[in-house]
Amino acid sequence: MRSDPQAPIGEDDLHAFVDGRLDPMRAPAVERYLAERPEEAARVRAFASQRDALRAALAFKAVEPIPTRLRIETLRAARRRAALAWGRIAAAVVLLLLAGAGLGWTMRGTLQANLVPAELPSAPTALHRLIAQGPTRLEASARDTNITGWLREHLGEAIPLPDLSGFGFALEVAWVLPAQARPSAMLLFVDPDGIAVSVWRRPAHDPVPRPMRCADEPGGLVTYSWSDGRHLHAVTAFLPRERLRPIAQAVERAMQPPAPERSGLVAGLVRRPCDTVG
Amino acid sequence: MADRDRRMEVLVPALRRFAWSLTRNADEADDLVQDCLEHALGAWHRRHADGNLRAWLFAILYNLYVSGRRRSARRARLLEQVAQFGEIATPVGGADASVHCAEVLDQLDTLPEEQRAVLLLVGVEGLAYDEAAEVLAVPIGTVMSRLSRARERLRRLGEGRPAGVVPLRRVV
Repeated sequence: MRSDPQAPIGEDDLHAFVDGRLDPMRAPAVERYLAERPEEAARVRAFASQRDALRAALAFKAVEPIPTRLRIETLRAARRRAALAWGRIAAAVVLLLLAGAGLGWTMRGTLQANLVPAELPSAPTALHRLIAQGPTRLEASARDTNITGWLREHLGEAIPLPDLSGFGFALEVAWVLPAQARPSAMLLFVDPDGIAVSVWRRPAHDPVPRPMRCADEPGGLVTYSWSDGRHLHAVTAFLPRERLRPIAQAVERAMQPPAPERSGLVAGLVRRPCDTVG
Repeated sequence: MADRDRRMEVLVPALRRFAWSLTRNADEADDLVQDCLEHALGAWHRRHADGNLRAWLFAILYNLYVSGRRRSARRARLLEQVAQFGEIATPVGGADASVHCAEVLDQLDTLPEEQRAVLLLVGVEGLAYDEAAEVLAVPIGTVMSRLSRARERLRRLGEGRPAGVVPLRRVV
């Protein structure tokens, strides 16, 4: 608001006076003005009494108890439920995409030949089971299960769980999808806003590491995938690339095999930045 | 996280009042607040970190209201409810107060939408002029001129009666 005590009185001064938002420098001038002009003073009083009447008429609403459905906690719980239901669908979509696209790699030749024929038919089968049966013994909730132990038991190997709390994501559900001798694991992380990120991991058949690459699917689903030569990984979410990329990189770091495994010649050669569309 | 939820929830009563004063229907108002909060939870990461939470939430609510109001069905319902709101607005005070309240709200309804919103945001919700400008996405000068026109219009509607005195007596 205007603070020059000399400036002529304006309509905005009168309203600021009514609303108690008048600059202190300005107040004496406005008060003097109103004292000398009873008609203007009456107008200002009318404005103030209008406002008081409106406040009185609406006051009851602000003191009513808040309905439970408007509690933030309630809304968050609903978002989590929606994210989980949605996350199951997203997980299914990911599996279909991975199955259909040769595990997300579009590289031709040996890799695809290696991956597609023998092992992938099992993924849709597992997927079918996941969808058709709903919660099965292959699903574990992070709330009431020791996920690390549960995964070790069902996968036959320990799996390093990424900590995504720095991004606001917490592990919610884990699935083990049996695929012949080599089951894969799917981890679903959910953030308080109800956004789901899925992490998929399966033993690799091809010992050659593949650098991280990104694929956009229609509908806004983004997948970062890579292989460290021991496992194939995919991180998928309906998130913009620039938000998902650091998450995928954090998962990659967390799931890296111990150092000696990475000292092979190929490891350094194939790694490159993941900023290009494949 | 808990702090952010708490800061949001503290504003729920004011959001409900604003929503009710726009829709004049309890269920519709709470639907609007729920939409607003859900939207805010989902869009939290798009919010400016140092932005004004109150203005942001009011802006979401108002935008949802305006876009929803374009639907003609809602508008038809709204007109129907004008006939009833005298009863809805009775919880405070006695019969005289309720008559007066109903009258004030009645007069409020005669204002153009954008003047009504300014009057509610500034006069009832206590938003600063720049906050109201942010909510309505208009320059502060526009807020001042709408406020001025709204108040002048209501004053003329109420003219001929001593200010602050309950003007009507209900004869039962």
